[in-house]
Amino acid sequence: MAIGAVLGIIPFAGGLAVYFDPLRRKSSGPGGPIRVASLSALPEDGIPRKFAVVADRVDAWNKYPNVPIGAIYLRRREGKIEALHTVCPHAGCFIDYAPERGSFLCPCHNSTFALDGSINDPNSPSPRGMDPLEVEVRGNDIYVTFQNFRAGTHDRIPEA
Amino acid sequence: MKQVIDWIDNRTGARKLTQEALYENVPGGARWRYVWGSTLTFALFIQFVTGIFLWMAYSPGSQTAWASVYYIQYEMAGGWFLRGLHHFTAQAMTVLLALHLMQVVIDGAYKAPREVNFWFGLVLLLLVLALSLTGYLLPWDQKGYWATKVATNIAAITPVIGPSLQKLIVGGSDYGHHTLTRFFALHAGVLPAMIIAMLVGHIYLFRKHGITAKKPYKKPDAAFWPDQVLKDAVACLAVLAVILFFVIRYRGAELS
Repeated sequence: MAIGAVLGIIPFAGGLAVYFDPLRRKSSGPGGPIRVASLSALPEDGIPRKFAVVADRVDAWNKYPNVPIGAIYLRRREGKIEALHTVCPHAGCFIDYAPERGSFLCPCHNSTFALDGSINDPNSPSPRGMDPLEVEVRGNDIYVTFQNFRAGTHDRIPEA
Repeated sequence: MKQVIDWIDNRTGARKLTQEALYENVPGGARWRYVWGSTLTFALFIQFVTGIFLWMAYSPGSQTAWASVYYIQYEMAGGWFLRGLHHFTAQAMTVLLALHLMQVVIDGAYKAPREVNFWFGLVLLLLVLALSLTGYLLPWDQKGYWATKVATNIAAITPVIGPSLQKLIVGGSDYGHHTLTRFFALHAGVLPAMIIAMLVGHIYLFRKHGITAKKPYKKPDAAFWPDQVLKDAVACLAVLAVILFFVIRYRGAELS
């Protein structure tokens, strides 16, 4: 019986070690600020515009330099620039900007958000507003510290 | 011919096996409501066959998956049909398993001594749904990618283990190579093996206890072969006809 147990367990143990490997790996985290756009590309009209976030991406055995790793909405008004993550905090779809409504609308489950990212409808399924990201202006360039957050939670928890 | 069969029967005992398999007694006669289990097995057969042939053309890598499915769908002879069959039979299976479950509940076939068989059936239900979930991602198209993202985000809300669970399912923090390889190993390897094991158990237990026929019996007892088999076969034909209708009407499954 003991021999049988050993014979059975060792192949599984080898397999499980590999299977649990992803838990060992940390996500790259926020990283540094990434240049997203130039100031001149963003008029001061308070209308959100989508910009791709381009950086290096590592996927198992591949490293892809300068590929889109996500997208953000940038909005500029009264000298301030706000960045909002495009991913819906409800379940993870991309949020659309609906100009005819003057708000954001997620096409998957109809979560809506005001232009500053807050929830503007008590019936909206999203547990929290859109996730803001840190913005830095250096000269004529807009830099954003990009990070992902967990979906489906009331609190804003960065993805580890 | 009889000599050949005698020879085989002498080596394998095939005659007795066929006797036992085919001449099961069906109290109360063969009924249409009993066909759903057989239609499910038939649908599973379609999935195995179409799945294996698709496997010969599919490439489970994040750089090649979508292109390999595009190639099957648009460039390979009959590719759209093969893939369409696989897709629409999966849909059909979901409907069939609901019908089968309804019949079992209505006829009380889950009651003692059939409880364990009912549990086997529930596990089979979960396996079929898991196959649907894992299969949906494999074309690596917009719909499959985002639907699976939503599904794993839901898994991540599980208390305590949620985020780790998501990392294991996805193969890391981000969707990528390992997500596809993990899902494919499940879809083409682990889950089919489990489904065969559970199905064998399910059929064994069902034959052990016999069918639960609701009293009063409407008709005299009949044998599985040929009476119930005929009903099963006609039902399978009808299911296939419905699947074919959808495959041809929509010219196969969508690739977004």
